[in-house]
Amino acid sequence: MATFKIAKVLMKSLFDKPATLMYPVVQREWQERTRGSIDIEAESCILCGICSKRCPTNAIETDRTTGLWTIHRMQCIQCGECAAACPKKCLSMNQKYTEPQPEKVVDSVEIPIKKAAGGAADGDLTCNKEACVFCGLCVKACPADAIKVDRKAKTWEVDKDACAKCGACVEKCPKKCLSMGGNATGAAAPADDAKLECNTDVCSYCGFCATNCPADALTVDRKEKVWKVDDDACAKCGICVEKCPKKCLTLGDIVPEPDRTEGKEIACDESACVYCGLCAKNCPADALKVDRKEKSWVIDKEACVKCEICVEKCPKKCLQLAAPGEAVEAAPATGAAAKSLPVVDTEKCVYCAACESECPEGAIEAPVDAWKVDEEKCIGCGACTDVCPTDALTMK
Amino acid sequence: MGKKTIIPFGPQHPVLPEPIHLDLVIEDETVVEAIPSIGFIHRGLEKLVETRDYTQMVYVIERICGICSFGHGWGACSAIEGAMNVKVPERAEYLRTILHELSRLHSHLLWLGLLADAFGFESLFNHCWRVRETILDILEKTTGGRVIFSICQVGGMRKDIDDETLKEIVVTLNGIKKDIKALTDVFIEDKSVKNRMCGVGVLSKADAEELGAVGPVARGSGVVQDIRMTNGHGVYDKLDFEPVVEEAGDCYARCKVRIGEVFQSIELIEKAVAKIPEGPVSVKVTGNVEGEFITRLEQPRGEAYYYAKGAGTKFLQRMRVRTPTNQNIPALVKTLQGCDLADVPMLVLTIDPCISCTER
Repeated sequence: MATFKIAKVLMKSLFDKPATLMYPVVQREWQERTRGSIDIEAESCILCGICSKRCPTNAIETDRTTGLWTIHRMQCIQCGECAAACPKKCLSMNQKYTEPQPEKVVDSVEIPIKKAAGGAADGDLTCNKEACVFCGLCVKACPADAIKVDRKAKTWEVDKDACAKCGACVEKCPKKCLSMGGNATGAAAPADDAKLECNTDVCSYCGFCATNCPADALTVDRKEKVWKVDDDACAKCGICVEKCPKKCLTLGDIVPEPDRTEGKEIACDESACVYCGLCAKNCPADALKVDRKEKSWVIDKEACVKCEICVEKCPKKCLQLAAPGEAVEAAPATGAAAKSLPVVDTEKCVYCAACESECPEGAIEAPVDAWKVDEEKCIGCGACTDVCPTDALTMK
Repeated sequence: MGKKTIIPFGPQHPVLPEPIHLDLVIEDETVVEAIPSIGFIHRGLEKLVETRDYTQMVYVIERICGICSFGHGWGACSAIEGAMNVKVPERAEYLRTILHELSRLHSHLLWLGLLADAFGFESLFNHCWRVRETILDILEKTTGGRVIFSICQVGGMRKDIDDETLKEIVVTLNGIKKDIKALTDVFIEDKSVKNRMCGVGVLSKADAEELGAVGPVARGSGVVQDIRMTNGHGVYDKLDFEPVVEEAGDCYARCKVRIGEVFQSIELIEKAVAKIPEGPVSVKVTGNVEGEFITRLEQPRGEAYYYAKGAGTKFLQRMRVRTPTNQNIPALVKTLQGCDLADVPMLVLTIDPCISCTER
């Protein structure tokens, strides 16, 4: 009878054990994937702050000055985004929820910050101005924007309140003139008459010295095979000597240090690569071969001088100088980088649309009398100019 | 003819799970007009696009509602994916479909419980929620959360669900099918339940179409409308999907549509698990959203719209969600005209109102 439909269910539950757990005597078993709360392993944390940037609810705070990693437990939504983004994998998801509290729970964990070697822990950051070349690398390294350097006026200043004493600048300083506590001696400053010189027999004119010069004192032209130094502008910091992949630069007593690129190779994240060939075109050593039809990217490791020009030129940012076996991931495209665009000479163009089919990004449309390039899509690789049968395209 | 009086109904009322306010204009025991007002639970989630980037925004949109959260996450993801022209791997689409149907199951069982509670059938209410707990356990095991899953991401799924677990899910669901049947039979056959629902709050097909009703409310009035069959989101086109439609348009018909959908969801999950392909579950998404995209999907409560617009920065310019309850309130107001005061809770409940969704 329809009226007593539920009777069977009710009778069953009358004699069965309860469907609920007798909490708190019987605790619920968490599933392996249960997202309860965020745990941190303080030893491996470097306070990089990526977790606080990724958190959708701003529940995490990182402070390098106090060395504290703070989580607002009630603000955390347990999405696990921080744990997934953490580069040191020191954050993890605990299956247990935060205990109910009458107040908002804020947990702070003290992170031991690794101080610079040799630096006094409490001392202020000082600079031995006699050795300093005011190159400004410390400014770039400072995570707290506490240092100001003016190369022309030859001044170096630190904002002591802002300085986190992390020691990042001390590590970066090419002249070793920075220290915590004022005991920096600095590396031997080059004699005033020391001159930067290049052994042009070895030089591949890769321009890496010019890219790294903090004083913009160097000019390198690869096509004309010209290497020039503006002696007045040169700060004699020796950074270029250190960076030169061919070890062809010398500055007074400063001789090249062991190779920074030792054991590393240029590698390509082929999942992001469009095989445009811009890397191969810019390689000063002709070490790269790219075939877009075959979708192949090949490097001649013997010829490669590890100048990283290809890394810089790659429009998809899929190249990287990495140790063999290290995973290479394409960096997100910045989009704002200046690029050259193909320009058509309508006199020569026969509207064969070879460029349209060649363009790796589909940026070109070539219907008769209406050739156009999508400036947003174009990555400036110049693949179109290579296939043009009438040389109607030029990169400008 | 008696004198007209106004009775406020809600935002706090024993039958209402969420705050909606109705001014009921009463003559004797009959409602002649109902004036709805909302705005008690607005949280400004859409505005957060200005300060959260698009990957973070998925977690925010998901938290619009605790019941249809998977659908919201999916909708936000596919709107952004559409704008960025990202193709999601097939396995991810299957997993999304399976999880979406699981959340439909838990939403409908929750609603059946609330309905039983509304007409005073306490034990039926608790039994519905007991069965629902099995679904929540499955969801916790596969995604890590009971109601907020955080498993959808732009480009696919954050975690894979292995084939063994998927088969276990089908076995569990088939196991509780009998349990659910025993309970839904009460809704369909019990005389006192039928007395409360049959012929109450009739919404004609013409009215449903004119007032833009969506989801089970429209399907209960004979409108064959289900985004799962029209728009082809997920993998419904591969699962021989046929919408559940009832003709009567009363509370009983709306209840029967949802009961039909409970069993249909179990079948759909079974079919999807049988067909799921191997492969990756997500693709790497780089770059920013540029352009705009609109996408629709069928939430347990009906059709929902998701709109995303970006201008090449990491923050979206606009993210808009139009939820099913928003569409069903005009239909509710229409059916309330001329009903008995005692039937008002039943009518409000049979549109399955979700005010959190509506106000966001």
